[in-house]
Amino acid sequence: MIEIRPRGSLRSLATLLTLPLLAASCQSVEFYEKGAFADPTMEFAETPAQLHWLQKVQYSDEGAAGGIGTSAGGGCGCY
Amino acid sequence: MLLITLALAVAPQVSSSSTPRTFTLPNDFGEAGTGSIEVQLGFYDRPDAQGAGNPFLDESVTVIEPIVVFDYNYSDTFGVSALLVYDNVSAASIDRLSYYPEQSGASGDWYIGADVGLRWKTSDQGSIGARAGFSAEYDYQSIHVGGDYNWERADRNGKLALSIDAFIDTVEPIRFDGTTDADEDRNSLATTVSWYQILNERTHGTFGATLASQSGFLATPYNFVVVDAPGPPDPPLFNGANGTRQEEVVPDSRLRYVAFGRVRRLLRPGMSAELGGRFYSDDWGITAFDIEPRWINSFKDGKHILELRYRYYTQGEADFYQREAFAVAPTGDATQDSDLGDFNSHNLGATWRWQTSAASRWTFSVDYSLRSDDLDNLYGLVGYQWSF
Repeated sequence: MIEIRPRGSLRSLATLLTLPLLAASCQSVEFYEKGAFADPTMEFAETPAQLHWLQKVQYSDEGAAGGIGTSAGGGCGCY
Repeated sequence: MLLITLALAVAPQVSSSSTPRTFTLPNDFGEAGTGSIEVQLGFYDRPDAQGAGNPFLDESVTVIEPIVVFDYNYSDTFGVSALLVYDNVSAASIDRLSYYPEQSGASGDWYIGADVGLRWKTSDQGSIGARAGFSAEYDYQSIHVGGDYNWERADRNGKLALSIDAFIDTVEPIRFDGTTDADEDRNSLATTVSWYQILNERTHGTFGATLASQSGFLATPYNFVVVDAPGPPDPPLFNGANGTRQEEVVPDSRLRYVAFGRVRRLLRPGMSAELGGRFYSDDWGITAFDIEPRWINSFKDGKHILELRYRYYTQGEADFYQREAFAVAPTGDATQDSDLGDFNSHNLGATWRWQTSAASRWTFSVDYSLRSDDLDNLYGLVGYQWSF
């Protein structure tokens, strides 16, 4: 397995953090060009209950908590 | 002006749910008097064959979780929501306590939690939210407060979400040998920033980062590490190994860094593809990464939606993790918790969403995870959401 060292980790994190800025500079889409986003398959359809369940399953199963929901490991003894 | 008005009237509107949800409470706005009720039953099952995960510990768990989420728009600028959850847990970690009569009344198999949220639309582009909650387990209590700020670009092409959540937890450390130590504190503070963006006419996505700090008692109370020693332990270890046991010890603070993103693109009407990923690092030495492609297809004009997904997850071990028995008794941090070990997993999942009417939707979802440490698991849910 590839081992990621702290310096590489910070670099990767910095790269991912700049993605929103890159995204913000993307093509401007006018309101009349947004038909694709009304397609039902384009909906990020997870409900709060589904998110809650996914958060609990993954956080109690894996060492990495965060990025799903808001708890990042708090609030649960999780078995 | 007439043309613009006409264009606005016929242009497809992007629903608020087109943006990925960040919170486990609803935070969308709607017309006064509208809302929704969501009922869901989650299930999780992890059998433990001898030698899987921690070879000395039976880590089998089965959980059934009913949950109810209520949401109501008191006005078009103010809404309330509530979440109630109960877990029925059957776990080897609880069964182990039956070895010790003095703990028979303290062991339990339940979790209950409640959260309430309020949200205000402060302007055409901005909103704020506040939430609070409480949860309790047989050996764990938690108080939660949190808040968020959301801002949307005027052209609706981008949306910023900032959130901060604090958890003030109390742990009753019931140890592996049945002894109970004095209550300990565990405090967590997590802040997340995420940005939703329409990237082009057929693609949108979200990117974000979470920074979380935890302090206090962070060990799993009943966990132990095995020190190689002659003679059979009492009670016997899971795989019949020899050895003596001592408590798991982990650092009393933890700083987690997470970056995540997902991008979805419409391939053709009724078919989309998504690529998601997450990178994680913490000061316990764990680094983790996952990548998750999805394929989403609709049938019968969107009445049925099928999502198929695959997730690859890999993590490195914590600095103080060791799978094998310790040759000599460790004097510092030491764990054999498989969650903190080195493993990867392949997860296959499917979700079927059935829109039975404009106001009601069923969701059926199942996932199977194949782990390199053999702690495979199956989980899923059945949910129903009714909007009024």
